[in-house]
Amino acid sequence: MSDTAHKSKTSRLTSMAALAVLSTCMQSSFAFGLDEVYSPNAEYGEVSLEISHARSIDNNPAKDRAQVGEVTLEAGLTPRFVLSVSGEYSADPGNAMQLDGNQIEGRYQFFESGEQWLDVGALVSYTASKQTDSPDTLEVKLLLQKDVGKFTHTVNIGFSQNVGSFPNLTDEAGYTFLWSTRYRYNEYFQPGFEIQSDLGPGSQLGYFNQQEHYMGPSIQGKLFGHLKYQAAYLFGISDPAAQQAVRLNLEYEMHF
Amino acid sequence: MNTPVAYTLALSLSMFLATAAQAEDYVLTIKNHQFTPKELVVPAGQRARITVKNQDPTPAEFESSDLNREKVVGANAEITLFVGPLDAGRYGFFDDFHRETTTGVIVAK
Repeated sequence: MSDTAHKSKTSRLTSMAALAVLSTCMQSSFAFGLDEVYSPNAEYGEVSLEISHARSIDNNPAKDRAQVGEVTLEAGLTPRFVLSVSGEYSADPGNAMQLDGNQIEGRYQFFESGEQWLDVGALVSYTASKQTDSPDTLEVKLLLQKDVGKFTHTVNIGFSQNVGSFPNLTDEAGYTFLWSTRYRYNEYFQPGFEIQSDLGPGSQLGYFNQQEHYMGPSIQGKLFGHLKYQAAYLFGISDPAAQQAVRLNLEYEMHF
Repeated sequence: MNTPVAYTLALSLSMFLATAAQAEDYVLTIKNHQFTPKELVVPAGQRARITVKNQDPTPAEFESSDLNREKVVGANAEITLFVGPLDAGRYGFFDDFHRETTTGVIVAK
């Protein structure tokens, strides 16, 4: 077996072992919205089916086993535009899973990858709530990415706004900040770290311990053929955050 | 907005938008599931604009984890990729639809 083939096989086995450990930890996802860190780059001519799931781990039962997830069908309709539809679900700690809403999302890539110093894109999504006591949500995210040698840094800055009037819910926009850095060891194994911050409404900006912040290691890459994975094991670093959280994402790509 | 801030922003924006114009052009051709050239030499430390022309009647997918690029090239179609500035070294790529036969390498010197 060549050295390269041996390295790829070892990377794949390492990735699969890590995923198996994470899957055992997970059984389900998370009240705080852990999310995928999106690249601004579109994949034209590709359709993908994606399953994401995250859950919290905490000694406090009120924060333990919160779960969120979504099932997404995504298509790169033009070289710069990706459209996706999703079903979103969640479970509060101690409660059963419920369908929260259906989402339609568009992502637009402003430049070719590497054409400018920074890759830039935008995401706009609308989630129609399936729960009578929850509002619809409009979200806009700025997507940024920069390759530096074998490292890829990706940042998402998000703004979300409730749509409609609901008692006890803020009209203020909510803010999120997501950061991912990965080392592209090979196509199967790309370790790195991730930061996920739910900064809350504007009035809460600047109050670290009123916001949910998580940070921890991540891996991503290909498993087999066109099956890709992402996984992260995050640690809560602010008071409202759970002690730990895990996030897993599987994506199967097809081409048209 | 005061004048120095406006000038700084305008200068930053023009430098940002000018970077694409600095890229040198290269062509990679796919025919009979083979890249030509198999080894593409580009200058290290400079951005390169690579046109990938697929002359096969089936689609291909240019992919490289070394370069962080993954892009479908339709049958008898072409795409443009920007890579670099690259450190001196070898950067492998392949056609993900025919990865056993269709491989190549960019050499930055």
